[in-house]
Amino acid sequence: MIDIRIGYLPLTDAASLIAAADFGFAEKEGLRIELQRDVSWANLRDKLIVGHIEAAHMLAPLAVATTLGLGQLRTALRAIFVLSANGNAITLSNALAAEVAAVRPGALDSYTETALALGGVVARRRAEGLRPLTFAAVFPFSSHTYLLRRFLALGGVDSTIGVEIVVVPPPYMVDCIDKGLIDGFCVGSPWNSLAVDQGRGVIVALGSELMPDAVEKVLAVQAGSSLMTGPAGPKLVRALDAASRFVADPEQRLRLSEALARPERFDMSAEVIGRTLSGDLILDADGRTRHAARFIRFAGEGLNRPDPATGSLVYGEMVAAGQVKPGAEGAQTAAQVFTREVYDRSFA
Amino acid sequence: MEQLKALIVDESPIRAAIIEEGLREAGFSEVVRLDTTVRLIARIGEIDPDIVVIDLANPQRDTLEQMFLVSRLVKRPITMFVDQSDADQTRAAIEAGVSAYVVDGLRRDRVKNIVEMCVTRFRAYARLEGELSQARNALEDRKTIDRAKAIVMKARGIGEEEAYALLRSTAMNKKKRIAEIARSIVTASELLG
Repeated sequence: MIDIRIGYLPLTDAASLIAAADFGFAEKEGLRIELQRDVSWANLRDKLIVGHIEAAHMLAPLAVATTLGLGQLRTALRAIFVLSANGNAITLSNALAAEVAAVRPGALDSYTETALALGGVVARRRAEGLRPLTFAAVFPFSSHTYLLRRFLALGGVDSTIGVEIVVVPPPYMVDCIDKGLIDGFCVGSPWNSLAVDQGRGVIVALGSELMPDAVEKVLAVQAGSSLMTGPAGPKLVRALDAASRFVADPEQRLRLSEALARPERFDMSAEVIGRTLSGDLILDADGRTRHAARFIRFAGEGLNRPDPATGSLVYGEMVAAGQVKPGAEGAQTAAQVFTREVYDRSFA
Repeated sequence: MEQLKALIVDESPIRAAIIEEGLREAGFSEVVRLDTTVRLIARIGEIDPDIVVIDLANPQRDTLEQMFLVSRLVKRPITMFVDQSDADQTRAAIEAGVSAYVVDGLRRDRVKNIVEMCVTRFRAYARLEGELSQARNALEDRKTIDRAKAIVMKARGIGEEEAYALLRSTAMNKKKRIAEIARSIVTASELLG
């Protein structure tokens, strides 16, 4: 048995990691995975860098940012397995949703309609000298930041001028909405659904609508890790591959959501987790629904095999968001983060 | 002398007080403590600290990173972790459960001392907490053993010393702690009425 410590945040897209550890997929490969739940992306990154964990559940853009040295420290990371695509959503506070709905009938019926109406609200607020709207993402280098920018742009809002984008950890989103500190947020599952269930917000746009098939979370390791070169890497990839197919199987949803809901894992309601796995979302307190078959994906269509193109797309978003000064060297480095080496060796 | 401001973000008021004292000794004239989750966004711009100490169990670390990276609200700081020549200190800080963000401009040796102080105090606090919970457990055990003793005395019609001897010999035979035996007696007695 080889021991591997892996850190994760309690989000639906950590499902394959949990399944690998809790449903015997790791054991079958001769691995013993010790999962460590954490509270922040910064912690996961630092623990990975100082070697407290060998691998981490990570936002794809954070793996790139750390490799480029954009955050605090520069350490080369590699994404050896793609854990998920999409799964995010944008939620507006009840007050802002009402303001948007009042612009014209049907303003909440589709994400494009909402974006257009929201653009009108932002412009009117500016003209009237009201405070700019504030939106929250979960980390600076995250698809959530880029999704918010894209959503606002659809309505003609420049996210660097008309609004403020801040970072709030998922457990505090609802609290911040209650206190009027933020007017909306973009976060991963199941936090949007939890906000809706508590009657605190309205889901208006899905990540799968705004950026279809965008890579969301990866399994990140240090570039110099023995997981890159030794026998444990391919074992881990094979375990995750089997776990991902299990997670993507609709037949397993009930069992899986119950396993994820346990106190030592996510400590949340299994029903809400199940809803985010299936993509049958409840949008507001009135019970309006939206079904998105590709709301969150865990396997299939070659999703799990890292693709350097993902690094390029992430880099492009960082440049567009003004997070990095563009340069050929950085672009190349970003692409290299998503390496097929270990994945291809696993199935050779 | 320069005016240095520090911010402590910690859910534990006792630990925050311990860190505050250390920072004051290190020459920080103004130390602000925040424990609530939400106010950080609103307050950090006003406070504009030279150093922020945050416990790693606090999800607000991600918020801090954003503020230091792109926010116009805060001066541009760096973190401890930038200095990778001192990997041992970084590791020690993570093990102790503390993270410190420092605004660019503070002297390196000074920063090193401050972080060392934080790590030492975080460790001391963890020890204190461990001792406290040990003391609490010991008290709980004591109470359970007393209850079990009373149950045995009543059921067997024996004296206190004899009841305790019986508990002790049972524990020895079963290779268990007396408190464990006592707990099962209390549970059984609750079940059987």
